[in-house]
Amino acid sequence: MIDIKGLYKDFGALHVLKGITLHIDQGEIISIIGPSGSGKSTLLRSINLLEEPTFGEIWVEGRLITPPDPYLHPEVIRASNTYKKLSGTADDAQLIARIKKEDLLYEKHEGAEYRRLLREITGKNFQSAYEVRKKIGMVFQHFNLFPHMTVLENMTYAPVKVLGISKEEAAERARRLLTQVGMLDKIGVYPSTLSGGQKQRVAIARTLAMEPDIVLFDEPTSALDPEMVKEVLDVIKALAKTGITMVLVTHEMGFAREVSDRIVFLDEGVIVEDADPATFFSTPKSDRAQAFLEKVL
Amino acid sequence: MKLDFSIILPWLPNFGAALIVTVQVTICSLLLGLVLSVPLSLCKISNLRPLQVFADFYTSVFRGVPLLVQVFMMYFGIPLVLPVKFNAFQAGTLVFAMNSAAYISESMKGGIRAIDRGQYEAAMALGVHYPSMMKDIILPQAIKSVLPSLVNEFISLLKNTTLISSIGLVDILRVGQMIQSKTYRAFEPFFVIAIFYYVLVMLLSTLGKYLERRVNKSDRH
Ligand SMILES: Nc1ncnc2c1ncn2[C@@H]1O[C@H](COP(=O)(O)OP(=O)(O)OP(=O)(O)O)[C@@H](O)[C@H]1O
Ligand SMILES: [Mg+2]
Repeated sequence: MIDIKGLYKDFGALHVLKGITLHIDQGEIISIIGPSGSGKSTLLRSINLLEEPTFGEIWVEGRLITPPDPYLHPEVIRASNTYKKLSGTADDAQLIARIKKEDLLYEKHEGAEYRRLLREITGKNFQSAYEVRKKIGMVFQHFNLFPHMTVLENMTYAPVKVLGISKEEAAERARRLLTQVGMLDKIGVYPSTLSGGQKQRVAIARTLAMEPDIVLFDEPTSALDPEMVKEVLDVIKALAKTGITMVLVTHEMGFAREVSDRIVFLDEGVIVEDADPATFFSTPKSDRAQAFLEKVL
Repeated sequence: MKLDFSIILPWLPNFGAALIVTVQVTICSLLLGLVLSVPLSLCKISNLRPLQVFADFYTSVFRGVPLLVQVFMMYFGIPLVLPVKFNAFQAGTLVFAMNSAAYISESMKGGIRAIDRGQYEAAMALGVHYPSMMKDIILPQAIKSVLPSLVNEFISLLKNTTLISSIGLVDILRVGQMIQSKTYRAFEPFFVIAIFYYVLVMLLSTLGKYLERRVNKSDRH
């Protein structure tokens, strides 16, 4: 369903993600945890291209959503002028490894065949950000409801505009989802009149109104007063039971343990552990995960 | 010299007609200026360097050249080199609108910049395309913070429209000049005109302050 291959992300000189490879299956619920600044949000936001990867590829439902990364395709490397120039200095595997490691490819100088192969990969597999975002919903830490629209308008705007469904159908969908998150009585109000927990429940419903296959959550309860955390977690828990694919960044360890199929522990831009919750929380393998868990549990 | 305001009375119908001209020019300029300011402000916040340069150059031209020179240019100058013809109303309105656009687009730019990144991100994550995002999500929120400066712009437009009397349009100031040349009296007509503008501008700035308070208040979620 989601395939992240060799993902790197730099912000200028800051290397935030350093070679992330992660596969997420349909219906899986994955929690990404790790220290502040480890790159959790950046990884999550790469999946719907709110961040543009520096290197690497992301595949969603079999479609490539980033430009192809030549370093991930040996046949492309072999077609490059750089490879041809260096051939003879080492065997194929060593050469490919060296070209990757030293980042030797320079698109403009690699010749027509190299560019044709890359174009071919794009042509066969590429899907634009807009198409991908129809299938991937995102729930933000700060809700990001549209303040000049009512709850109903927040929920019907994108389904009508982006998916092209009728206003009546979108309103019907909105009522059904608001009922599901217990917010139907607020359908006509503006977001500024809602509490944090209520805003987040509406934001979750707004995301679901697009009928996504995958939902990304970036610390959905971190901006909430403690007494409102539970109502939002309950909504997410209920959602987890519906079989939808979810990727969560969260600091709520108990919650992560309860709902997740897998825990991905990220530290300094690399995946240090990827395990089922029981294993991860009882017997973390790495020192860094142990140290982290000691601090937060 | 003895003051006699009764000399104004026979001219009241002229004042009425002139007032309509003044208000028409002002409102048309403001609306047209508002419309023009939208693409201009989008150029200013764009990542494309040529668009930025164009918008900044546009603004600096209208700020740097005296308004009366602009009016003369549009009315007398441009029709000599381009195949266009303006009457005084059109030339004046166009110049004022283009000026307003320069000013309004500055505060519109500020309004757009002040909008939280999360609004863009939420729209993008929902798959909304850039034009719809700007039209439906960003600009409606930015306009709100532009409202007070729109009132200020309305005020300066109202005062600046007196310049169109210089290209022959009969506005309130022009009626004053007509009274002066017929009656050889200057104090009474211009005093009445001054009071008229002053009261109107005071009323408008009260409205502007009220709007500013409203906007600031509803900013607090
Ligand atoms: N747009 C950006 N420009 C520059 N640096 C950025 C940007 N976004 C994130 N960073 C930096 O990248 C690093 C990782 O950020 P990220 O938000 O992914 O961390 P995180 O794991 O989500 O942390 P937290 O738990 O605090 O949310 C941080 O050092 C952050 O300052
Ligand atoms: Mg984060």
